Amino acid sequence: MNEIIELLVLIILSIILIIQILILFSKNIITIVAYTFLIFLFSATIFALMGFKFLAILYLITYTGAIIILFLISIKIIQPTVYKQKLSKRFLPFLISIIFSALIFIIFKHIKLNDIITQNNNINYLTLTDIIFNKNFILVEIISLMLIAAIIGTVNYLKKEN
Amino acid sequence: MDLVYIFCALIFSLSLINFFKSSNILMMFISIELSLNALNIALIRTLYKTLNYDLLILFMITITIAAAEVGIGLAILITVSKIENTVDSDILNKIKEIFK
Repeated sequence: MNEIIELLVLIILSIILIIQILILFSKNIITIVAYTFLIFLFSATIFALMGFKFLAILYLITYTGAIIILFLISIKIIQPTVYKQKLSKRFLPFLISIIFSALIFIIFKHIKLNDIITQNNNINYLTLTDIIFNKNFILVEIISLMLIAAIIGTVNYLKKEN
Repeated sequence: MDLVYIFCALIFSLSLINFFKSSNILMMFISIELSLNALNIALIRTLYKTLNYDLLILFMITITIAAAEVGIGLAILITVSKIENTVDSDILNKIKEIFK
């Protein structure tokens, strides 16, 4: 089982590498964002395959749910003409994204990913929360403060401009 | 040497090439995100190998930095691009003038 997972991780990493090369040669910013979405999706799959399903979901929520959407909205504000380009130019990456999303959904659903973390490493989510909220409590507080400062800074900056 | 680390290094260097190659600031932000992504994969691989769960906090710090950087960076970019009507990296000089 471990060998199969190792092989799968290497295959997914090589796909990420290929997508990175595609990004290097793409010109349309929407296509690039679509490829970036795909990379984050694959990265989350790697985490899930290694047995960290919690981190994979955290990664999916933060990157594909927040950052990619933020990029798309910014592009919509800054370069609205990009959306008026031909659909065929950005159709392929979105099609690939949909197909791979379906594939990854199948992986998440059918492989017993939780078993890796609970059986081999003898750790469960209770110990994870203990590490995060007891052992490294101050560090987590600093991270939260940093994020709040970033939110306040962003809002303040945009307000000032008005 | 673990092959995963080599792949991560390759992904990281490709992101850096992309960062220095492009003149579009949005593209630069995406490159930074992708390089942080390569770093995250390497971190999780180390966590998988060593089972040192303190690395989780480092992972969370990386995610927070990525989110905060994108939020503030895009806010500045939107503001400046409204004035200058461009997203070229030359507007960074304009930002310098604004903050003087």
